[in-house]
Amino acid sequence: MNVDLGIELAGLNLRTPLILASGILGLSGRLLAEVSRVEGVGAVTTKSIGLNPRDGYPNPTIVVLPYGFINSMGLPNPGVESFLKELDEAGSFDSPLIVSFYGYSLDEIAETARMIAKHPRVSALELNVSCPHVSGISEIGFKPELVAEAVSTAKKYVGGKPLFVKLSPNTHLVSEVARAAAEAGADGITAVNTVKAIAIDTELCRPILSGVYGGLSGPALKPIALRCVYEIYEEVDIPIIGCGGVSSYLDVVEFILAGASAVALGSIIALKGVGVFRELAIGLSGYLERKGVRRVEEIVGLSHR
Amino acid sequence: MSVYLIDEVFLERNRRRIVGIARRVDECIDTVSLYIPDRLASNSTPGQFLMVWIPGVDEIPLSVSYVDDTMVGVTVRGIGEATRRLCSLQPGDMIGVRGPLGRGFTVRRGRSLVVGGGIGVAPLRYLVYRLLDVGADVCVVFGFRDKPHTIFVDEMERLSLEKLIEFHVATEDGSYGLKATAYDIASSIIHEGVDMVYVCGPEALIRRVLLLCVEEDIPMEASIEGYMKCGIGICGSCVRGVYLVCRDGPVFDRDKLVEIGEIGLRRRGASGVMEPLL
Repeated sequence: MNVDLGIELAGLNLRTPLILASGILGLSGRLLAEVSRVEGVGAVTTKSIGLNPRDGYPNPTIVVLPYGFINSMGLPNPGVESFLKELDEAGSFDSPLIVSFYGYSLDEIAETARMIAKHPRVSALELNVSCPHVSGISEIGFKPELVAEAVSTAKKYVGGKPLFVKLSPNTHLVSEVARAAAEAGADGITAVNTVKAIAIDTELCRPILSGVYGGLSGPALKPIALRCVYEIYEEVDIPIIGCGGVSSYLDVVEFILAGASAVALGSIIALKGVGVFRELAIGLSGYLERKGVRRVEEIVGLSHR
Repeated sequence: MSVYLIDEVFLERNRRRIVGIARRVDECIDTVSLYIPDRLASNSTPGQFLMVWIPGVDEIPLSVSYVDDTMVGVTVRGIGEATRRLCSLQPGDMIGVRGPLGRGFTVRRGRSLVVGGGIGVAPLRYLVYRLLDVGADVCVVFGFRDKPHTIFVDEMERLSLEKLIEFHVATEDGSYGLKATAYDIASSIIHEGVDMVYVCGPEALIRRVLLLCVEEDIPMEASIEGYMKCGIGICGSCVRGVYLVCRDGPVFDRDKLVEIGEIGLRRRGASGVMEPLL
């Protein structure tokens, strides 16, 4: 029997349900284009881009734990104008390109979305309302009304390209936020961003990260991200990109069973490199074959039935 | 430990060890070597780097310039807030250390030319000793702005007097050694014939040596810089071409340097915006 890993996601066609998450390797257009050609990659997401360049926070910006990372990069990015120029020089993309973006105000969200959506190489946009360690962004992510406002504003300017919204797990109301986003016109939900976290150095007796707070990613995040996907699936009809701590093909399966149509990979790529995409695709294929399933969409949300 | 969790070697390398500076050496008017007692970091190979945390200020990448059983040395030129603060530290002051990180130089036998400019000589100083360990025939060329900015020249001159290496030093204004650039001297040695070239220093120097080595078809490695945040291949800030300096470098071979393309021309700043290199 021939397993077909191809999926349709909010109108995009992906070779596999595996997506490069925002914030990993995604600063350079050229490198992103290269990753889009890697076997097993279904789509790639950029670093979150804002209207103006941001340097991000001074170091330390990362803490390595046995079960994940805490990062406090502070949304460093070259700004939308510079980034779009890079896309011009990047070479062709072999998989859909999802550009992540943010804005401190509705006007910024509108203008940034408009500029990004105009670029021919952009397949979709992902609105980041959930970075836990940048004030102005983190506060939006758990208020349904604010997210709805941001989404409906962005939607007016994306020129018909799919608009995903990346939600925060730092709330017990994630499904409410998801519903508000869906009703405001989002074409998909990315669940979820990192969990707000800190680490303290016991010799110096001070927080390690220069920004004090950071976002926890990696294996420790997985059960929380899964819970968010599961809750959101019960609340919305639009597709979900599951994100948080995926390391193995069984994690991929778990997210799909919970309700994700696609799964994003972040920390594991940083640890093991882009070869992981092929490894997970093979594992996923093997699982589907063993279960007598031909297409990924057949098991999306299966754990709810 | 399970394959799903982060492996112990990676974990330990990235734990910030808080240590007191053991020794401080003023190398010249704006450059200081700090000797740090950290056993894991002392496993660094030439070309590898440490992420050094100056609490409350910053955490920056520094190439290793010295190693022994328990101690590791880094050499810092004070040009920004973090480096100037490091240059002011005294023995006993506490800093954090992560590493060793990155890919270092390939140490092998043969006629080896080591070319350094300015603070770029720091990792090369360590490399020279490892090359001698494997029996390489070493020729060292160091170039500096002027006499007040020369470092490690006494050490290299001692090795040269002991007939262990061939040593050439140049300053742009002629106040010490030859009035020339490191490239001037290196290029004539390359034309005479070498098996391998190692470079570190201003990118203009690296670029010129690279182009010459491509032309003469000579193997070459250079240690380059990229603006670093995480230092471990996660954030992508240090990307040059399609490579991450922290993970695939900072040492790159000739072919990769050509592939990267922008060496000596352009480099990203803190926000990732491409800026021209003057």
